[in-house]
Amino acid sequence: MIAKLTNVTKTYKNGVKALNNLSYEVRPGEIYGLLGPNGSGKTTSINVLLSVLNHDKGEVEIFGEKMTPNRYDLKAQIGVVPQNIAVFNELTVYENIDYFCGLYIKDKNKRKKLVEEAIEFVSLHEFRNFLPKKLSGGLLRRLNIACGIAHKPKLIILDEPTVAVDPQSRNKILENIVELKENGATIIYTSHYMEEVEKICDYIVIMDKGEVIASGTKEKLKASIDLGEMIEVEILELENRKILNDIKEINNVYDVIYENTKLIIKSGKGKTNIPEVLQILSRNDITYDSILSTQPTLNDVFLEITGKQLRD
Amino acid sequence: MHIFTTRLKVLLKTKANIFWAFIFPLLLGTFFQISFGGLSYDSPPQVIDLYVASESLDDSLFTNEFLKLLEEIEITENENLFIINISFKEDQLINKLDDKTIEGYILIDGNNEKINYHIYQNGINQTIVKSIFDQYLQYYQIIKANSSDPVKLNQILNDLNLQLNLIIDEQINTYSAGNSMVIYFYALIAMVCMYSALWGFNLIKDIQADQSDLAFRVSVAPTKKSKLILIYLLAAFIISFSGNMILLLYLKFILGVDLGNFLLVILVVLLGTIAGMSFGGFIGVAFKGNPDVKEGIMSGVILLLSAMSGLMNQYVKFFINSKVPILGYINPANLITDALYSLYYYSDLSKYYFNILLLSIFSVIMITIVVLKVRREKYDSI
Repeated sequence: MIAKLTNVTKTYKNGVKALNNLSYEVRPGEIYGLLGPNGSGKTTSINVLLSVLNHDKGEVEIFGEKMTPNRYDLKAQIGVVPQNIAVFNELTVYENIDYFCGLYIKDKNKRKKLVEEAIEFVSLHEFRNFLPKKLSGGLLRRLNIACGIAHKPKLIILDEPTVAVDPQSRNKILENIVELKENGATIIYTSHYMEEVEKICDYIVIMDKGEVIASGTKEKLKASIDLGEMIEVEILELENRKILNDIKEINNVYDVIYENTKLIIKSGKGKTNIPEVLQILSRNDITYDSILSTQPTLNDVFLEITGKQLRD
Repeated sequence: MHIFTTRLKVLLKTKANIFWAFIFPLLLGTFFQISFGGLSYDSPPQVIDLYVASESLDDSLFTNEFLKLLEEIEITENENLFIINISFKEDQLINKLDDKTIEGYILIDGNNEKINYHIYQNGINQTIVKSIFDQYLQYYQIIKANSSDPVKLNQILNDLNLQLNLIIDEQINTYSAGNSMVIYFYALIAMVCMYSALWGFNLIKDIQADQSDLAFRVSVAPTKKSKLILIYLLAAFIISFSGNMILLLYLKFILGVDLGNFLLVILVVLLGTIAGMSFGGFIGVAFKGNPDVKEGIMSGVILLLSAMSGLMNQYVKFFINSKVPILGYINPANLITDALYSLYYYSDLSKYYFNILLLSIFSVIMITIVVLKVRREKYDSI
């Protein structure tokens, strides 16, 4: 076990219950995703885990030992990449990484080697003498990551590391995270981007209102809901609404709606219903621009459990 | 060492810090100097030791009346301006002048009705002496013409004495004007010391995890908080105190402001810097909210405290000290100004030490609150 929260509850002074009897356990060598909308308690749980935030009750363990603010031996094995960019604007890329690495590694030569490796790892070698204000949003995020991982920690906590990042930088960051795992680190990754979590995480905890509402591998999570297939048909104008009932008669289909030029058909698990849908459209002389069949996403999981979209 | 040097680098590369700590005080000091530049900051007129070369004494009317006049001039009631010393010859006086054990001496030439005045430096005393001599030389012909009429002579001498008193009063007034202007420079020093609060405030902001993202990052690292605070504090203090000392040196040696006993002035600035930094730390830990807003409020409060210590108008300070003295005692800027002023104005240091004591008490209270607050390592909210 790398990190464990057991029945942790945290209520802020304004009465907001940020964590409600929250429990989760991170196993070695996995990328552990905490997925949930803003305010679901992901960051709060991380802060409690790191012992910088008081909690009302519950147990916190890291590497099998009780975590407290003075457990510097445990802290030395953790790397944290906070949600907001936390670097010195007055220091260059190299100096920033060197400073934060220096809080963990005292030996100057060893630190120098680690800093170089971190710069190489996040591909910032061209920008090593740049001040943060000269970097783009994506490069800044990479610097933020480098500052948190340069000392080669066993456990890396990345709190929404791709917020406000262009797709190219996002892909680079995600590749880096997978590489960190391959190099032996255990990773806790929080995000409200389901695609990212789905792409890189081995185990996913979906949170809402300070509670775990579902957890497991992405396959297990998707299998846990009724939705098997969603068919989207682009129809500019649908005058004959009778076909909605015809489609609903198809085996396994449990929901059919038409809104904003889109006909959306949801069906349970089993074979695809595209041929039957096409037949009905053809029989009723309805022309369509496109037809798309998609498998359920984590957003569908979240939607089915909570009745709201992940990004609401 | 690595943390310390990097911290120093960060602080020195923060342009706003450098401007407010190093450049702005010098600009303000220069502005004050330009505004009050014509005024003297010399020491107040005191009793003057006047050395007369013994061989130049004779029985002439010129010499006798001159010495009589010098003996009668008073600086204050029942206190003569001159202590006349006639026991040395000119060559002895020249040696003393070379050794700088005397400021000057005179030779009276009764036959030619001249007074030769030898000095090694100009100052307010020399200015007064020269004015008196000039006045006497102007009056002497009238004195000589009426020397046979004791009543008239007495009247003329009284008139001359009156003229000389006016000259001395004028010199004292000129001194007093300069003297009161010095308060503006003291208030400037006090303000600069108090603006050390910015360093204390930023220290807290960079250490307390609930204050900034950087502080959060530092808090999760395996470096002891107490160690980090000491390192950050030392770096901030070195820069802040250096900035304040540069101002002090600039005022004393470039602008020529008379600050009194310089070592004791440095002690005031040292304690003032600590008071300022601890005040900033106090603001950092005592109130919740947006750090930028807190910093703005803190700057405003410091400006108000400085204004109350005489930065914008010295009469505000005098009014508060006379009408609501307690406000003066709890205002660190005022304590700094008063300590400097007492050094300059009073030979007795008790008032100086009283202000120093109050300033130290202020810092101890602030530091105690800061230590109690920053001791905790976990926060209720981040």
